[in-house]
Amino acid sequence: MNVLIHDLIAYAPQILAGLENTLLLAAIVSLTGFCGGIVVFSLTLSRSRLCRSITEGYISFFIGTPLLVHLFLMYYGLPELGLRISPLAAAAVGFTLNISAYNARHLMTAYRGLDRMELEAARAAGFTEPETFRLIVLPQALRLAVPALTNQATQNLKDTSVAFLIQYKEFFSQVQEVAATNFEFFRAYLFTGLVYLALVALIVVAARRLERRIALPGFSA
Amino acid sequence: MSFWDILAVLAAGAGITLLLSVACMAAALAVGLAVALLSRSRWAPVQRLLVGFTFVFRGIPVLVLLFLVFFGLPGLGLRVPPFLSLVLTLGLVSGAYLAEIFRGAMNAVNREEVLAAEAAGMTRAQGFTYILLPQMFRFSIPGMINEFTAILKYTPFAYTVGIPEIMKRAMSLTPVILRGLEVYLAVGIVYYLIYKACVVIFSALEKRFRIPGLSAQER
Repeated sequence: MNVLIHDLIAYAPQILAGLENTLLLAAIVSLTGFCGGIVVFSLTLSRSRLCRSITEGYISFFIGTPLLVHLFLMYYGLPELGLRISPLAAAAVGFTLNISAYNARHLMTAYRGLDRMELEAARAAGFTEPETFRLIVLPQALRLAVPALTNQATQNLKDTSVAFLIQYKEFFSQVQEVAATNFEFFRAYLFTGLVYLALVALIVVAARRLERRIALPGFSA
Repeated sequence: MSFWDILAVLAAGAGITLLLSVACMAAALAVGLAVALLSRSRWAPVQRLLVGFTFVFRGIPVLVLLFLVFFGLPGLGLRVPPFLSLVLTLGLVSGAYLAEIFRGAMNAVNREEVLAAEAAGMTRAQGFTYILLPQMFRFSIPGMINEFTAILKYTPFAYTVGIPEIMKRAMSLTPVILRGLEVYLAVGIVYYLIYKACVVIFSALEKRFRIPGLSAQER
């Protein structure tokens, strides 16, 4: 263990930089994925049948294929279209497409738990379609989807480890580079796992707080 | 090389992907059932152990656990073959998720039915096997479909430990023909087809075993 601790201290700047990159990517894609999820969800409620089927197709494809494929498509595929992008940009775009699809699905599930009568009442009271969505559908769907959305956030953090496969210098890749200098792979991976567990625990605690904070008495799915 | 040729090369790896997925699903099912059953024990140490188990394997990224098993364990003198590494990793991770699904489903089964079974002369084991388990499985189906398709979507990690499945074939194809976009689009299509087939098969199974009027109830 001493060897590892010694190396962790010696390579602290590199490892911390990796941790920073991991948190950066997780924060970016959780935010863009959240916004993207709302946009995609709103498109599934569109009046136009064509728009709905395209949106359903998008959600279905991104939920039905591995995240790794989305990342490789961005990282190895986009340069062929003449777009040279950094690993961070490729990861951000790939993750956003992936997470938006999942978040939209979570919001659709929550939407099914809403009271239809309220929507009709809103229309009867003269709310326009966008108003109904913004003032009645979205707040309730978001509230009901909080557990699913926060679960997704933990999933996002864990999934950022996959970005090392497209050469993004995140935490996991940096610890591996350190391990490669002394061949202490087992301890290095154990350390990586523990750090992820600690970060996940933090998100879970924050999620519980959020759930309590926004809970409305008598309102649940 | 046309798009169809690319698809054909990838499809040749689909068999291994399927085999991997099925092996991992079986392992996850075994782990999930074992954990769910153990969690019925009222013994505090067992409870604590299971809470820890669930937290660890739901919290650790699949890729990190896979590397820990495949590249880490040899450092302790334990060499795990590639195929087994992935089965072990996904068995533990998906097993932890499945256990939660099974636990929720068990709680949704009407307690009184189990009591009634015992009152009618069934032993505890019989009540469990004929009354609790069949209903639990039915209630778990949506969650199981989710988890099994998640396993399918994790199998491309197998290329990192050198298993020649779809992704590995795609990666050795890209530098040769230099058309990443088409290759990975084809990979996506192959996975999507397998995914759709899985969903159709599971839904058909669900329909086959469905009992009209039986659905999960709130406790």
